[in-house]
Amino acid sequence: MTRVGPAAISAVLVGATLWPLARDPAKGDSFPLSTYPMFASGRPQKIAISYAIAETATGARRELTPAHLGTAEVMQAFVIVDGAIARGPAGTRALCQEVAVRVAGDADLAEVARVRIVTGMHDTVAYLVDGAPGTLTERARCQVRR
Amino acid sequence: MTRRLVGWWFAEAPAERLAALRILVGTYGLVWVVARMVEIDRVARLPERQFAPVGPIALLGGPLPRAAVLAIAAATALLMAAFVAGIAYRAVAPVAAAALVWTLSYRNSWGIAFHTENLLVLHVAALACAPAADAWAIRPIWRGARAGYGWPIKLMVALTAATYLLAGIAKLRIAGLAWLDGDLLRNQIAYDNVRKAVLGDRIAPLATTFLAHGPLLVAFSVATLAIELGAPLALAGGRLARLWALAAWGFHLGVVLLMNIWFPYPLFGIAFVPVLAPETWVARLREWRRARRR
Repeated sequence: MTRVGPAAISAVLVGATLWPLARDPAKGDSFPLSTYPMFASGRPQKIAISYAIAETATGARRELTPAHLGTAEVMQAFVIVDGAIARGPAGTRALCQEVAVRVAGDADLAEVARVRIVTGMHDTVAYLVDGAPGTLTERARCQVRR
Repeated sequence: MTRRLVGWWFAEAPAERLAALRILVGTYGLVWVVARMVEIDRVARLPERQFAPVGPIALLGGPLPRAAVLAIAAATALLMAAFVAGIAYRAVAPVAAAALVWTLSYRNSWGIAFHTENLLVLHVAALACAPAADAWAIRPIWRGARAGYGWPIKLMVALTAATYLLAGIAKLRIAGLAWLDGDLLRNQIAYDNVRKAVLGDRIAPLATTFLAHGPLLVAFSVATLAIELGAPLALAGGRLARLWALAAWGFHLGVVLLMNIWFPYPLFGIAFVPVLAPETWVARLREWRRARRR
């Protein structure tokens, strides 16, 4: 009888951890009980990726960080951009302006004149191996006001 | 058969081993929560439209005020400190585990569920239900656990194995054996590194080398699936379990080198400590210090 409690606790915790097997692994992810779908899905080599870029008045590009999008996490930053684009032009402009405000407060980006939200069509392997930049489609553009 | 299974699950282990796991896992949880405080603050400022609750956070109708989020996170850190020290453990540990689940679930409730904290939460939950403060605790209560100290350790190994097994099964269910041909992994690595590159983050040091030499990725794909589906071997204990843990650690190192994605809980080795005998490290340290004094 002394082992009944520990056996029940063990069964519940292991059972709960394995419970996501009953869900579609691609759609049923959650926390803390996960289907662990990371890296499992196929992705095309050529893919559209939306992100924010910063430019000087002469068009030279400066690097932004996830912090300019309001997070420390790269993946969270892309969720923020994708969410803004999904809300339409007004949502994309609103995000652009939020980023511009953060850029304006960043002394390291003092020469940045504008922020653009873009969707890049990149051949991901060629981008990394050969430096092929891909093409950009502008979604929103806003000035950095200081 | 049942008797053998019960005997194996409840095989004895020293109270100090379970206590060492409490201290190591709990300290990691404490440091993690403190280190993530800035990010927790950042997500607490995100607009409500990005709120996508997971786990227990689904009970909420909307995001909490920022002050409440930070207060709960700070309370979680304090509770984890008490968890590590073993203070009033039977009362404090379950509350600390619940607070950790809440705080980390909240952090994961903004459109993306990270997978770096799941096993930590599961291990803390297992320890919270166990007599893990019968040794090496402030005012330890020597009750002499009637079911022994081995079963929680076995449970932690089982939870570790289950999470890796699930990851392997997810790959087979989503992509099938095509996951092994290397192309899928190549595109994943390329996609992930390009996302880092366009946002000014560092790409992984071996990404371009492996992307330029595709066949290397077939070997990595096969090894990944073998390690994930082979995770139940850790339950065998002994050398086999330690070999699996070493392979799994190597896999995470590979993920860093190819994708610059860090899973700190396994990379620091904490996820695999249940297959080791951490209490012996203290004894060895004491012996070494004694030898130095002579």
